[in-house]
Amino acid sequence: MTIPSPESENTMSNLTVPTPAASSPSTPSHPSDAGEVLRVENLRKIYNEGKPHAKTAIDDVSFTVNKGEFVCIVGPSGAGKTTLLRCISGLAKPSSGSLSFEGRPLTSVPEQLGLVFQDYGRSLYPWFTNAKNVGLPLAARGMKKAERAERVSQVLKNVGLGHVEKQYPWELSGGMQQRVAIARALSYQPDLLLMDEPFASVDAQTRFDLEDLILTVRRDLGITVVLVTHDIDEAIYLSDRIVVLSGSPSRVREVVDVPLGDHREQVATRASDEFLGLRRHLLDLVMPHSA
Amino acid sequence: MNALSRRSFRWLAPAAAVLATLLLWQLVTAGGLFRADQFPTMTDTMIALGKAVATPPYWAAIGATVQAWFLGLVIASVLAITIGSALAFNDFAFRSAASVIEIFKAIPAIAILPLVILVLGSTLPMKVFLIAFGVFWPLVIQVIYGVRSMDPTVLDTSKALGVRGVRRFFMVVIPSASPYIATGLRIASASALILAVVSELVGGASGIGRNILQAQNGGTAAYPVMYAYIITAGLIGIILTGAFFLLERNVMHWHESQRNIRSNSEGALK
Repeated sequence: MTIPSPESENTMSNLTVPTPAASSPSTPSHPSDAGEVLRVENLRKIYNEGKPHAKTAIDDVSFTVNKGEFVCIVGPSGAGKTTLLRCISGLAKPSSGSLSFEGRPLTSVPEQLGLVFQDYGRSLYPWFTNAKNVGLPLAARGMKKAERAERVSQVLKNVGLGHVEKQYPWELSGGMQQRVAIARALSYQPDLLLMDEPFASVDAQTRFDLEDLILTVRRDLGITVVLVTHDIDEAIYLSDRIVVLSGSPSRVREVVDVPLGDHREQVATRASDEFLGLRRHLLDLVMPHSA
Repeated sequence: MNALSRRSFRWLAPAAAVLATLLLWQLVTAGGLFRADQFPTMTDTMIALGKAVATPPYWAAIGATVQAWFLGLVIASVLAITIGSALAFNDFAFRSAASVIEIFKAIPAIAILPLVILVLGSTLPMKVFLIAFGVFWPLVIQVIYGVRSMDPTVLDTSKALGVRGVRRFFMVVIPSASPYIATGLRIASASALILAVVSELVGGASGIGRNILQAQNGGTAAYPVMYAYIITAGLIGIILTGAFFLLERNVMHWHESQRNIRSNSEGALK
């Protein structure tokens, strides 16, 4: 039932050194290409296909994500962002088109994919302590109990939480719960972290903290991140590239590069001319009047 | 009222109510409203109960009843949880089986008692079968609804985390359905005790029920003994219900309903 972890599993600290990508670099779409993690080609998703009430959620979406990149997917609400993420993660089957993860066709959720849902209240299991929640994917991968406990406290520390192992998720604040959920997704050191509106259910201050946290984690672990959001400012602040979707059924309207550099700071970055210029451009793309 | 007297009041009030009931019983029987061959006095019954408690057969009868209750409940639970989950995950199987389950659930378990006695005799297996049969159908429905009402995010999360198979079943599916299962078990526990006593009373298997029947056959002189066993059956019911209450409070402490009960008892409702 469980997949044993490879003998030579990296420790958390080893992961800070970027490893060369395994997949071959095919048709690089980004200058800093170091191997492709995710490729989405002509993805199309129709709900209730063939029935009278069929609804096309995604019309035609193609993009690639390279190793180490931070890509945000934005679009007007109801644009099928969550559907797209469910397809990318392997939770939903696309109606047509192809998906590949690290060069292999994606048919179910890959072992090396971490997923963070918007609704931490429902995705963290209330019957488990935080430690058991975070350790669950490790147990499923056959990790020994002692090693698991060590990894769990390490990864909780990485997301800025100490000594919450014995508490239950519902004993924590919303922001802390989402940190636990992020720690759980990071615990098995995935190559790609997929996040669906992860900061939509927390207050503004916590949201800024969590955005900075995810940037730090990404820098420290050299992880690739794809984040779905409806918040344009958040997308610019976090991303290297932004995939802008049209309204439903979604198509890629434009892929926008975000040349803001590696060091970002909530107040200064958001006030910079570059940021504001990108913001204007993206608003033009997303706002309905421009359609 | 200060905290200490409030706590003692919480215990004193129900104790006083029980005492008042016992006194009323004594008044109507000793006062001549009922004759001794209709309804024994409270004191006679208590003396009979005191005598019975001191003898091994009393405890053997309790043991036999509780044993059947326990075995029937365990067998029904294991079957209901496995079959119920399997049906819940397969839409076709669920829709096919639903009507059959509803029909079987509608059959009062007591109705098959004569048949079960014919096949199995007045034995422990007869009692266990009757209890398991009577308790299984409502329980399996409860399990099916519990599993089918699982939050899709809960299942998606387990898929995303790579939690599969037996681990997913025990760590995700069962806990997620457990509020439904717990309610089902609490109700099942009460009906299992009823079925145990009835199978002894009618089916003649050993236990509290048969002792009630024997006392009835012993004539009016044995009436206090009969009532002593009836009271015992009630006490077993109270103890089993209390045990389930404590078990649920401990196992389900994480569930929202239990959390609400805790925070309400911490003063929100006062």
